[in-house]
Amino acid sequence: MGGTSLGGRLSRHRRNRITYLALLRRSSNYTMHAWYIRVAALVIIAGLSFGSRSSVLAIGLCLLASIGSYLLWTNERHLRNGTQPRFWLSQVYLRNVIKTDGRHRLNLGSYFEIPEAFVLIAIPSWITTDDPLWARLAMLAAATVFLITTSLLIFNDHAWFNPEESDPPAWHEFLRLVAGPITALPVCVIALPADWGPNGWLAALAICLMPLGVVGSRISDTDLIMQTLPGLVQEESHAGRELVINEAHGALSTNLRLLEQQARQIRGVAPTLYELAVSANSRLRETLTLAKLGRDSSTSLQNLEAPVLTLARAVGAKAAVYVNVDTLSADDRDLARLVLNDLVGNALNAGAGAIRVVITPDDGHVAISVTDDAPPMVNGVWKTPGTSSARLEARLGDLSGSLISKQNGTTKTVTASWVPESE
Amino acid sequence: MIPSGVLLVDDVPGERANFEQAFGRGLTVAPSIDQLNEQLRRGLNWDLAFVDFNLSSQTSTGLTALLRLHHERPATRIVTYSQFTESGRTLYAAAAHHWFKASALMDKTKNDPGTLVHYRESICNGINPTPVPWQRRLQWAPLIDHLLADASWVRIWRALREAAGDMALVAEMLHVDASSLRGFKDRATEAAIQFNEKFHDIPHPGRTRNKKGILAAFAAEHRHFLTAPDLSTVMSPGTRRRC
Repeated sequence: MGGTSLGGRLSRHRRNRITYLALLRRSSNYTMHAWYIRVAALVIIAGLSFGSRSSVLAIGLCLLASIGSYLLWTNERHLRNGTQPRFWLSQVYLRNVIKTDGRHRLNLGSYFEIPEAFVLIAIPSWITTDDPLWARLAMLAAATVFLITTSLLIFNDHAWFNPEESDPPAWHEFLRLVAGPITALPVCVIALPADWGPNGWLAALAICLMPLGVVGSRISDTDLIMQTLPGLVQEESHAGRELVINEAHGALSTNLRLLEQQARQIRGVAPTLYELAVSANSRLRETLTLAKLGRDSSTSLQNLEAPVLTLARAVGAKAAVYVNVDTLSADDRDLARLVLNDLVGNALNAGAGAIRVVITPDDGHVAISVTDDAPPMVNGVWKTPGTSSARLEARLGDLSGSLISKQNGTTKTVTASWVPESE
Repeated sequence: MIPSGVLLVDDVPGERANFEQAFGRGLTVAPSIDQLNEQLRRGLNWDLAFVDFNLSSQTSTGLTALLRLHHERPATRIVTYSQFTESGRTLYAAAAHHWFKASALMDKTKNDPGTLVHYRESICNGINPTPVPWQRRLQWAPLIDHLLADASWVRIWRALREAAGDMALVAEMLHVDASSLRGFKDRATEAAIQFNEKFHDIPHPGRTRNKKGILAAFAAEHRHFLTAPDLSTVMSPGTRRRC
């Protein structure tokens, strides 16, 4: 997300799928609110023009300036009802809206609405000059609000938050930064040179400068609210996920743990049952890691650390797990679980206080090394018939693997390796 | 008094299998505080009690069970019994050891019948069967008093969890002045760092200004203990003092 262009870099912090979707969903309602305000503005301007000698021209211009609003309304109606317009201009309008939706391009509506707003500002400034000052100022305010709605539909559009639009032109970003002054400038240029009288000019100036505050603050408000949204959504969804995981863990952990304990007692006669129990229990512990932020899949090899940490925590031992393998097939992962359960379990039962586990590729093999600080093994335990080490060595031997133990001063390293299945 | 036996305070029926195998008819099970109270009223007496933290209750946890046994059966030796990878269980271990003088600790993953019998024999013979690494960690159990230096801190920890570490929001939630929480912030952060270091092998971060992050992470990690419904009752030294 966020391209390398200047525009991409400037807008990178804002573009996010969640914020984009949130603004996209409000888009239709937001547009209709803007439409209501525009209709009100048009009615106010046309209504207050009645008393003027130039009322025919003013009302005519108001009708002309309502084309954009009419097109906007019909377009929204067709979009909501899923129907197709019959009038050719509405058809063009709809096609254009669909084409520019979410893109850094002005749609056809804006090309109507901007000049319409200028026309409306010109009415109280230059046409209905014989109206009372209060009426002209009210019309000017209505016309300015009309332009503000147009400006906000442009600068608060969901396109500005679209992560797909990663390389917008940089000048678009600068333009958005000065959206308030840009909106205020044409109002000032059109309205202020007109004759407002000695008492009216300051009031007209205040109205002309209204977009400075309104547009700027609305845009920054949207940005601020949207800035917090992705984190909030992530936290909420994470809390939901955590609840489900904890409930599942609470419901299954005792039974699976007891199943593994029982299966261990009959491992000699039912090795497959034991391996299934180890696998099920380990997998449940691995899914618990999904309760951590940033962990998205229980099939990630990094999650193999979960059962090791559980075993170590049971006796209060320290444990560090390093996974340097990118992928393992489902069968290899199951074997890795069994190896870890056996080697780590043995080390902890022997009194280890610190354990270091490394899972790494080794010359076509996958090797799991468990280093611990337990006292050296007594003679007659390692690989004697019936022990878990003997069973494990036999299992690894079937896969061209081996099981080796090396005492190195106060630490011992047991390495299990085998040739993994090709993915 | 009825002859002594072993008490298991745990709400999960599946947990009983190994205990029944190990202790047979000498086992009493209390799946809830109400049932424990009933057994205490009936005058049952135990040499040893295995007390789990989570009792699936809205009003009480294993802390209440520890408190009841502490007052009613002071001679009963306590084994802190839980799965210590779960949220808040290390604080429970520290609390049981420091506040209620628990004799030993057992992780649920190690509850095979042979180990259970070994625990009873060892404790009766005055030997601590707790795994040595856990014994080393539990030397630091008094840190629980630094994390919960005052009964009012329970409310702060709870609010902290909801406010994701934002002290200003905590002050607003508790209707107190933010400056009055400064003492908590400094002392609790230092205690949390030490607890993380001694119990969770998380290296000391050195001089840090990210107290908010440390407290928020700690409150989240240990939420089940810090939001336990009976914590404020149990943590008061006055409540724990025997009559």
